[in-house]
Amino acid sequence: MGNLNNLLFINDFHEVLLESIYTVRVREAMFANPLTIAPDDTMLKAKTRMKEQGMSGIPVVMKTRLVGVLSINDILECLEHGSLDDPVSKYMSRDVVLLEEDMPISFAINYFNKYSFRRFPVINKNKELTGIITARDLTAAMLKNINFQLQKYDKLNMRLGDPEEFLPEAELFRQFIVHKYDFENAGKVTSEIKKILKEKRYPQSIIRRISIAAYELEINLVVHSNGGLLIFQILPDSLMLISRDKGPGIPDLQKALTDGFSTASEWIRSQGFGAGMGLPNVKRVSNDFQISSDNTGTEVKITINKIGNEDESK
Amino acid sequence: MKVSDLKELGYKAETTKEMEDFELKAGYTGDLLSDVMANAPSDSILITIQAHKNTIAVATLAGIRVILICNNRAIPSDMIEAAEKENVAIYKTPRTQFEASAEVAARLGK
Repeated sequence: MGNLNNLLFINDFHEVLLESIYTVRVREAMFANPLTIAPDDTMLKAKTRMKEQGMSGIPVVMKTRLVGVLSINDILECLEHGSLDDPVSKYMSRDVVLLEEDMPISFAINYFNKYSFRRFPVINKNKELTGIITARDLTAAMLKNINFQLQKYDKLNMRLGDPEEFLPEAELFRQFIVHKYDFENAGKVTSEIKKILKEKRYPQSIIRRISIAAYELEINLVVHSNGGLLIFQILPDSLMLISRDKGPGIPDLQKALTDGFSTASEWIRSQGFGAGMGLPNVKRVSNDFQISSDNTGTEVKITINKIGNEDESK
Repeated sequence: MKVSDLKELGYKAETTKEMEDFELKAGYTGDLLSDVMANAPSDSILITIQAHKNTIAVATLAGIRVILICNNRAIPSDMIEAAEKENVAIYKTPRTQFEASAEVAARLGK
């Protein structure tokens, strides 16, 4: 159980990281509207200004045009070999690499790897200077975003892997992750459950019923959900299956439970699914069937009694 | 009927496991996998045009031992692989599902 939760977490974390890199914009990470300095200003003025703003670098602007960047290193150079009365233009780097504020921070990460600069001025679409960004700004923005997203995912995971699902009287507990549109692996969870029950020498009729329910629920997760979990438990008197997904939810439960009603696409129908029989099939083989759904997800919980069902088998 | 009867009817084996001596007890015709899963009897032959890997998954759930693909539909190699693995035989015929069902039903004495 623990392993699967970790697996889910790692998968999600990877997604979160990628999402951060590609969705957070330079604008959100940069230091906006930094003070600037003119090339004719003295190094003393630049030093004071940088100290005031707590910056390790300052853009050098002539009228509205960015002409260079002055860094702490340039100030040190000036202190060692020159005078603080010298003009900024004598020490600044003129070789400026720019980032645009609409770029995803993946560009910024790339720039920090590619160039030796420790900061990049940021411009907007009109080529006006709007900010400056350091590796530290970048890290801070990413951490903030990752944290925000993980909190969001954590809520989902709690919903998915609720430990209270594990009933103390369960003889066996298994959780399986089912991914959206993963037709390649659809049916594997069902095979696994079937194998377990065969080894435990359950009657064929019971195995068939739980297999039908598991397979339909599995296919539903693949076809309709954004991915989710299938939880299987062997209880003293019954077998329990819980299917829980991350949405998008079933708009009309009554219809979803009606034979023949389907929202499946043509393509899914061409795969032999989407006949509108999934949930009704699950319900038919179950002794107890509960379903709830809203836009955060759907949960189906069914039990099949271990004895007294022989008449149901075919 | 024995599986070997299918060859007499002119159906072509697509899997290496032909299971010729297996005694088929019943048949079912359909393409909707949920319907097949819900209603097909075990130890049966499924007459279908659903030439897809998922059909094998459903067959194993329902206890279907032979799948007869009609209208000479192309059978994907992953379906054949899955069938070999799950001990399900696949046969193929140019006949329609209606014609094949009638032939198989006659042999089954139904």
